Amino acid sequence: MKIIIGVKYCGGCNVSYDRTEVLKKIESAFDESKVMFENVKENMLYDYVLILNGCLSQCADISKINSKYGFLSIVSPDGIKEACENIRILSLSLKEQI
Amino acid sequence: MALMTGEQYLESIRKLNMNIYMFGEKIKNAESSPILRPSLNSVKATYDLAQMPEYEDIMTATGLNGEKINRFTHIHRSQEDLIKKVKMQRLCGKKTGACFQRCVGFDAFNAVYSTTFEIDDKYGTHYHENFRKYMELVQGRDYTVDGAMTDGKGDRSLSPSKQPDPDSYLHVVERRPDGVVVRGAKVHQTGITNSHEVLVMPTCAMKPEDKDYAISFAVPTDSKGITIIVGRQSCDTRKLEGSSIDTGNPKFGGMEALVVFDNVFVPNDRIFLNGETEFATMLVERFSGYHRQSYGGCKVGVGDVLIGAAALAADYNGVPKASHIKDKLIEMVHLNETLYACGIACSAEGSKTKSGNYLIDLMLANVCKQNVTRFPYDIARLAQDIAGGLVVTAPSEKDLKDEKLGAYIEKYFCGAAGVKTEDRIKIMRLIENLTLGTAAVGYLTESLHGAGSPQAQRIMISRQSHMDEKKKLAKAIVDIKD
Repeated sequence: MKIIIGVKYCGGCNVSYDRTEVLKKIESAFDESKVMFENVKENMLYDYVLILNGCLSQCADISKINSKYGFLSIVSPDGIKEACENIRILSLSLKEQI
Repeated sequence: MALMTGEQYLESIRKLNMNIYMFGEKIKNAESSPILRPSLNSVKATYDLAQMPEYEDIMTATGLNGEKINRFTHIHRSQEDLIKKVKMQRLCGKKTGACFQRCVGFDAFNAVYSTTFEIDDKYGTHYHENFRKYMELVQGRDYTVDGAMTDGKGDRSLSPSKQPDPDSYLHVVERRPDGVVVRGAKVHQTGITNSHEVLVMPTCAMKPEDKDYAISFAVPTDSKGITIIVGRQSCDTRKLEGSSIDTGNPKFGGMEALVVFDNVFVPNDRIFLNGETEFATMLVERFSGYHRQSYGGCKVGVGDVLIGAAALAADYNGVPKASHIKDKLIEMVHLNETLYACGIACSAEGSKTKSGNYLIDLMLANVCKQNVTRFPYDIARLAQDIAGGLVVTAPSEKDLKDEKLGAYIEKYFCGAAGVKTEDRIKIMRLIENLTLGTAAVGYLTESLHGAGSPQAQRIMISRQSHMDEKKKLAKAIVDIKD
């Protein structure tokens, strides 16, 4: 079973870190045949959604984004660890369900 | 096709047959002109960014027909929209380090939208319906529209209809059953060669005798009778020399022009104001208010680039830890963020107009712009202070690349260990470009005079200062009875 992670960015007006680099680091921690990352589309249902906010105001509009198991807002590279842990936990719990 | 890609935008501009002149010659292909191409790239960036997931949240919005549109064609529906506008402008300034030219039309859209509604409300005219249909076209085709307000003005002590030359202000010269014919000119037109359409507005308050001058309309930029004469920018011909380094910003730029309307026909459905002189003031004040807000975004983004360049210059010069350098960089950031704070504040305090769109707080927008007339100059001075004299004395790229001369330049213009001399010169050229080269047109003089010269803001600040209320406050504190 492949986990699909939706990726949502804020508008990036005044970012304090490179959001695409952070995403690359998170992506590289997982086997792409098991965890897939894609830019969110409205009305799609994702297993989990990562929101890459460039600053603490966390203004990304997620009103039309759907997730089965939750959202995680990242506001700095410090969020990489938590994102990876959450995805791993999700991955394990879904395996158990299978 | 509510959202064009950058390439589709270029293709759409290529299809226009604009009548452009520069250095006494007709420009058949503005895209291939080294002087104009960087300005086209800046507008293209507004299309490219809207396609990128990491920017679409502020670069796009939902249009009048529910479609996803470029925010530069949006009619603001909330304070949040006003805030997102400023954030988008900061982003575009950061990405181009130049004027990206699409704001004037954007501000005109919102000013004309609400003003036409109120004219119709009073006179039973159909300007708002005309304009709404026009906006559906603009949003649906993702047009770039030049907002055209400033006239030549002739003798500034005389009203439009009292000028010795009646064409000093653009005016109606013929009224026909199917439309009007206009003559005159709009000056300082930012981005006109990169625009699909031009949206004309009156430039000042008008009296009943100025009826023919109270005209607002939109036509394609390649309409019969329109002539575009490109304005010069400081150091513009460096772009013709084939050097990337010497231009300072080899990718992006801005452009301005004199736009002559020589008996241009405007069909009825493209007219948004026609003789209702008392509404000229509302249109001018709303447009200039929006545009004064805009500068709290775009100039801040360009300021970010300049601050970054100054910090790099300090690194390359080997003095990043000098306390006075650090303090100057802090001062630059403080000034820049103060402008941003004003842009955000006038947006957050915005209010709904009768038409339903949102207007910025006019007092705070004017305070924003008044600061913009000063702070970029201070930031530019600090950037030059930090960078040093090399900003204005560095040899050319040709000399740098010359086998014999290049060795001298490498030897005597080297900086901190590990820094390439070429990189040091590149940063100096960027600072030169922003503070006294082609980009200084947008970053400095446009900051002073664009969206109205400093005195225009002071008049608006005075009008909205509620001075009597302030006097009452003082009286109440010390028990002065009337």
